Amino acid sequence: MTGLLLATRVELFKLRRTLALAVALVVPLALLAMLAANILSRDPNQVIPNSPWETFVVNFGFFLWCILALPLLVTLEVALLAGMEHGQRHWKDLFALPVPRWQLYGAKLLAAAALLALSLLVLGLGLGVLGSVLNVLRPSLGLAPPVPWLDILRGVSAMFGATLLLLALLTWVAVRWPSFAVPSGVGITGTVVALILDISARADSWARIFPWSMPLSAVAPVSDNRPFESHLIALGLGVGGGLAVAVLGAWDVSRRDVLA
Amino acid sequence: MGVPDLPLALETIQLSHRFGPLVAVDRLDLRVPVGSIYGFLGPNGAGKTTTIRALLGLIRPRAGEVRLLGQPLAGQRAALLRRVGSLVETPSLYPHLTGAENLQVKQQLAGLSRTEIDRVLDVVGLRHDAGRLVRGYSLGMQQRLGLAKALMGAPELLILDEPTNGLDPAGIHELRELIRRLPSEHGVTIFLSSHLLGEVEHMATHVGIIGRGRVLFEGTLGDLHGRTGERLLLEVDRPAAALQVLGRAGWDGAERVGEAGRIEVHIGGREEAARVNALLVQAGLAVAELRVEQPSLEALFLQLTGSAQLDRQVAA
Repeated sequence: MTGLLLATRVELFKLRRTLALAVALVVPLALLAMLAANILSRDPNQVIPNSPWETFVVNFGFFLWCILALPLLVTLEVALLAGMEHGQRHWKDLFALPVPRWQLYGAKLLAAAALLALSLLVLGLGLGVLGSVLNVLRPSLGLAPPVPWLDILRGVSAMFGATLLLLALLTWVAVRWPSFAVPSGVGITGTVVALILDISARADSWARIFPWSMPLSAVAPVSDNRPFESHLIALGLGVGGGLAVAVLGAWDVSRRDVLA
Repeated sequence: MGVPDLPLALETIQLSHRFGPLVAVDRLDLRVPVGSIYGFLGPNGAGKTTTIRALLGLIRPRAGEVRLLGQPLAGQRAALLRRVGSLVETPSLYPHLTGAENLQVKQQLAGLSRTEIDRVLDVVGLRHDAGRLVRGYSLGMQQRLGLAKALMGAPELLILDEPTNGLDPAGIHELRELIRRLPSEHGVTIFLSSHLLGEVEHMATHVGIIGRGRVLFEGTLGDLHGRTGERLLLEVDRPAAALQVLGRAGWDGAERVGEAGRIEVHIGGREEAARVNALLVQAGLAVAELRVEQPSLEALFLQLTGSAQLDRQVAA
């Protein structure tokens, strides 16, 4: 395990000056900017009915994030992380080191998870700060203090757990195929399918087990279509499935001949 | 042919690998003595890179065994690779990191001391450029940094695959000098693959030539030259008479070449050249020029690998 942590530290060290690190910060900030622009462009006397903070964080922020930004972010991040090795044909060099291959693969996965956590942290903090700023600019919205930091933290944590299966799947695809187009194609196709599933009447059943839809299932408000179990199923499948796919990916990478 | 019983830094025993129906390496037996610079030669597609990948555990050979530093690679890959440095084809470097940061990646992953970074930078003469981003390095500098990376951890065996690929003549010369002094200064055995004969001829103490995945020759450079002997080039006033004199004395293979008056004789050493000269002068012939030439390694290489190509065509 020490070897895995060491390899992960090296993986994070390699992120300096990379687009992958910049993207992890820019994507949530861009989403917050869009959200702010959208709200500020509406009627100045607009009121958010019922629980304003919950509606603002979940229905506005998390929904927009989960349905589009998150799956595309994960797709881009894993493609960039794997591309760092494919581009300069690093795998032959890395795998000729006295380090087990599964540790190098695991480190890549953990680095991708760390970038995801960073993005979610920026999103969570940003939503709290943006809500507070909007409360000053537009008091009618009802985003009065206190900021529900604990609920936000719970939400981003659930999204993190529910995204792990998608992260593990796309990491395996990105490491397995050297072309940037393959993980990008898989990621974008999945995002489009998830979009259809999420707005379809069958969202309650399929979205629970479709990796691209699971982050939204883990945080979406409880309704007739989305009972509370949807949260647990998405979270459980995300973490459990993510671990299983990570182990399978590490096994596959360990046994494969390195030709590139 | 073959390397006598010396301690071996690298050995393959009946190593075989195939990609689908294509046999890339076919029962390959290599023996690389400790302290040697071993030139691993073969035309493109001969199986050099496949062999090197098997040596580093990057591919699992279908049959045979790889032994590094006297021990089988299978089962103790990590322990053995800790004592081996490698540079496979182009150096794998992160362009967004500095030279020193690139070395830091290996230093941390391999659990080496930080002082190793400065040590190898000094060996390859890149200390002053270590803080620059690698994307600004010339190809030669990148190759030297790749070599520095391979030298980290003071390996006992260095495996270099086409290390001068893409370099200009100055870069080739620089890298060649660097590689040549490594065994004496750092006690490392070098296994160097190349398809550039001149490059190996200037550095190697031993050579292994492969074609179609099989060993065509293995031994010292002297052994290789000894396979074909030398040739004597003469310029005489009456070449027809000279050929008759030489033929009567037993040099049947003598023949006229190129310009009028030039003759080529295959000989077994410099003493024989002196005997030919004396014979012609005694016969009343005027010898205007006499030159002993060794066939270049390139000629020998083409002779060996050319016949392998021919075998392939016949087999097809």
